[in-house]
Amino acid sequence: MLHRMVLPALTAIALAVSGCGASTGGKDSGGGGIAGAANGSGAAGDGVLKIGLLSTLDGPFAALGQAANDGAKLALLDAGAQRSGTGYRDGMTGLTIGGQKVELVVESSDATPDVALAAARRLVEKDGVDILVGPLGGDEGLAVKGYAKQHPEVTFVNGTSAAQNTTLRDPAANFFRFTTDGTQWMAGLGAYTVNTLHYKRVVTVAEDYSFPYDQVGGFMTPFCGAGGHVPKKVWVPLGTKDFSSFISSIPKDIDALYVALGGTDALNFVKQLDESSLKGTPIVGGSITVDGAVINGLGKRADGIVSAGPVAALDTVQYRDYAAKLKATFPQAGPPGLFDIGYYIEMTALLKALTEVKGKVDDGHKALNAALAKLTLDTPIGPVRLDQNRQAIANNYLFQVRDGQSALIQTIPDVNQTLGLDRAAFVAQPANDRDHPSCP
Amino acid sequence: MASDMTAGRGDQATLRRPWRAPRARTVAAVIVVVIAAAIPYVTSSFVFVQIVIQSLWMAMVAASLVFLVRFAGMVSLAQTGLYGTAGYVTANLSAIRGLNPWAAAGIGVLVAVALAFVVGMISSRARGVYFIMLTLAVGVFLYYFALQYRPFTFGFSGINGVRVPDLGPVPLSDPLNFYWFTLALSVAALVGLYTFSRSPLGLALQADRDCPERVEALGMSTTAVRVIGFTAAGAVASVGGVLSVWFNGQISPGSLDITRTVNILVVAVLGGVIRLEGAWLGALLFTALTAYVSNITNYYNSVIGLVYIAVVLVSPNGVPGLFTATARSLQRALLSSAPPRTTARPVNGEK
Amino acid sequence: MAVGAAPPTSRFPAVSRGRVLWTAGGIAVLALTVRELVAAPAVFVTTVLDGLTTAGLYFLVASGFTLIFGLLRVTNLAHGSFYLAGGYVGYSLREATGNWFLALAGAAVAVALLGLLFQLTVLRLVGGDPLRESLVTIGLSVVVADMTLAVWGGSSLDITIPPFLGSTIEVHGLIYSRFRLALLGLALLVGFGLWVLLHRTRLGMTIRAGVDDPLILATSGVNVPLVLSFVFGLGSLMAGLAGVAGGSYLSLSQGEDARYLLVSLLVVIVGGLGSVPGAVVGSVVVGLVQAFAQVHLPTYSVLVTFGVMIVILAVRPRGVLGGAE
Repeated sequence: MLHRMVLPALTAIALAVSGCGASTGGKDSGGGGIAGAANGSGAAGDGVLKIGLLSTLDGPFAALGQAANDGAKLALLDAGAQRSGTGYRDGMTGLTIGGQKVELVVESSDATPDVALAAARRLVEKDGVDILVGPLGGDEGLAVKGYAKQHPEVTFVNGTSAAQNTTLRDPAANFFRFTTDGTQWMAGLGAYTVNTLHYKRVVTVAEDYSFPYDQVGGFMTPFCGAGGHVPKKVWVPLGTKDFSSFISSIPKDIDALYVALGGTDALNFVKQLDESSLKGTPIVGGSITVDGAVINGLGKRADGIVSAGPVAALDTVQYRDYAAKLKATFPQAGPPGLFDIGYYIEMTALLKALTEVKGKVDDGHKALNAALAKLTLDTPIGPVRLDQNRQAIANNYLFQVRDGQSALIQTIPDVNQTLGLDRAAFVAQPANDRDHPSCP
Repeated sequence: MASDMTAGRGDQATLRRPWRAPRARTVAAVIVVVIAAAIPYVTSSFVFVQIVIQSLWMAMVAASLVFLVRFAGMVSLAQTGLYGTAGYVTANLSAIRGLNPWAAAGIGVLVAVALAFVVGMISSRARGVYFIMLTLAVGVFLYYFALQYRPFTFGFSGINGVRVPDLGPVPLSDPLNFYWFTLALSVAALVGLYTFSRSPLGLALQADRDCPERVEALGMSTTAVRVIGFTAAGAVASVGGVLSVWFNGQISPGSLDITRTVNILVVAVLGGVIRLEGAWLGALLFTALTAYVSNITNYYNSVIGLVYIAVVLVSPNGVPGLFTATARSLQRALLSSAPPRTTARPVNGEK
Repeated sequence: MAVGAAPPTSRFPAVSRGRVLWTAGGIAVLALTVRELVAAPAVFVTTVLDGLTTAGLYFLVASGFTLIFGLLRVTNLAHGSFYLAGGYVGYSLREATGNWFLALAGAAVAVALLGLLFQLTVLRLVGGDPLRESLVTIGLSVVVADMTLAVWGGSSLDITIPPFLGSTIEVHGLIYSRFRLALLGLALLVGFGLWVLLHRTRLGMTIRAGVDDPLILATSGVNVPLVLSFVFGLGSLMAGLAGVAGGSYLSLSQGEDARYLLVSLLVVIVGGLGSVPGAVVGSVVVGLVQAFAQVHLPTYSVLVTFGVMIVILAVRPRGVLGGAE
């Protein structure tokens, strides 16, 4: 059965990347900086439970942040809240949990860690939120995790930030992530490339920062393990639009190219590739590479492109319900995608845990955090539970473009953060980077 | 030309009524001290930390720019690059390499000052808009360096988890202590820069701003004078960089990108580029503006851009210039027998 | 009140040192070329073409910047914003009319009007003070970035190119993009047009006179404010044109304004401020250096481009063809 792959919402992506992970930001011991006091007195103090929503409504990923806010607000609408306005920055009120009023306050960053941190500080220290949901980008997530350590009295629930190290190494006790990371998003792809497609020599092309490092790492670890070789990795600087000279540097004796660029950039890249002597080289895609725009833009050329990611148009009640609700509530939103579903899941998880503890956070969030840690969810994209580091274990999906549609070809169930490997051994490996992993 | 905008007007203003100036100045100083001492106890935690403390270190970077514009006629867009350099070296040495944080900060400042010296050498021959462009190019180069040179800077993620050291028995990570520490450094920077401007070197710098040919004719090297001035300003900017890293606990290329460069320029212009103290006022206005306007409108960037254009158009002396202009016209209106004005500033409506 | 670079202090030693460096640089470039040509001729030819076509786009952007600087002495830090605005307007026109050439012309005119409006309403108020003029252009760039985000959103957009430019041509087994070559052609055309304007018309003569000596021009009975406005409009027009041409091959998105402002800066700093031939030299140097750096040192390619610029500056502070004073 054919399924549409669900990334078209990303049509939009300016720089490849977007929302997602990071692995090797400096050694993060957490904390640091000047901690202002949280302004949140919690429900006990002012009778209002404030939830802060942090995404990227500014800068190159503004379109992704808009999708994210739609997803988060949909979860609140589900629970009975009302929107204060139709703008992306408008908050929400009208929800009551266990007799406590619940309010949503919205803040935005431009995808840089600095601005995300400043926005988190505004939410916690100025608006006095009790719980912060976000951020969207991986490097932002690393910065916010550090901040979370300074504020154990506030609960942090991730947005779609997918940096591996936000939870894998040196996690924060009050930071919860109900979505999988950039490496988990590649589960299944590397082995499939070698064993089924029989591509043995692959060159990777990705932007030069941490989310693509995690994606390339997640692809290469099993790919190299199955006997594949990556003779060269091309890291293009952030925001590259003209790939022609980079394409000239790719060796000619390869079976395929692994491309982890965002939608529009991937489209430009393949177009420029086909204007070179590497014309027609097969493509294997990252989690945000193959979207509706790419499939439309490439036409026949798109057929056969294989990719992997956490969001699939499943034939389940939950997915169909979600898609219908999204379309009904936000007519201008695209089909379900990574960012709206990600924020929807995180917010839903939070509201479920809040309901379990009847909105009580005056015990220093102890009950809430415990409820979050052992929460299980049946989401539009499959079941989710958390591991010991409060990191999601969830399904991952493999897709292939067939007849102008991205079809689900394989489900990899219950992918954990260590990809099924021994945790100690996995953590001991060098973090994903320009040079790691390597199998030339 | 830069000097049109800045030369001498501030001095003339204070010289106009020499018998009044000291008293007004004392009163102003007392008010500032009282406010500075009261702020920690009368403001909310957010305003205190995110607006007051943040504007203190931001102002140091802006003050280095104001100093250059005011006393040397150099509009440097490389100041963010210099403060970022100090910040990165401090962050890397302390958080990654585990060096003593004070040593790390010292080395950070030294490296940035050395860099300021080199940048000064490269760009000192250029003047006016040439200088703006050159320093902008240098600033952008440093941004890309931070973005690409992962072995040291860790690319886009930057360096997280930089801890604030203790000053002897005093933990600076406490906001109140950090405030006093930053305030003390701000005052030191202010006094230092003013002292420099009144020293023979500083006077030579101002002479160079007004007429480089005469400075040459006097047998001085304009290059040397400008390089030293640029390096001194770089030192202040780098101290601001160390404070910013301690304040944020992290640094990433976003800390020195073109937006941040523009922000520093906005702070300087808001504060007026007449007096160095303006930088602190400008920074306070700017941080407050960004913290609160973003809640009011979705187009707050446009608001900031328009406010900025308006300030440049209406009052070359920034927001304080607006106040003094208003005060002066009030004074004129009240004192009907006021003497004819001799030192009018080109304020809006007086052209 | 020197406006430009300080007078060279020790002219003779600087020149001789410069000559040595230029010779060494020339030999190094020649040696690298030969090596490249022997090692992988196809890659070499493609890279040169990449560099030259990129230079075409860069020239389109930077020539407007340098024109404005040459006559008005304004560092227009909103020049990248004009590029972006042109691209976005061109996108909307292309979607509305379906005609790419109409989009190109319409966007160029629209941006020229925007530039004129800004020059007449804001820049003139701070006329005579190049510094404040530059400062207000920063304000404009902030506003334009915010407004384009509000109107066209954060998604990156592609202007659909006309079908006959959308394919490749093949010569001796070498495949190359038609559009890129067309871009180079457009740049040559615009360059030629500028040359005719500046060297074969009365207006051009006036402009050149203004670049050389604004004071004398003003005393010779020319309506200087009119000429200034015309040049500012023309410079903005070029940026708008470049926005459509560039946005058709490389997508338009937030942040491109800063990129093309920097490109303009690099090109004019390398080539020499205020000089149109300098913009040609500057864009060719920047385009080629960037193309080869991306092939051989992809990770640090940006730094290489800036590094070359700094070396050139160390030798010739006013750029290769600089001297507009």
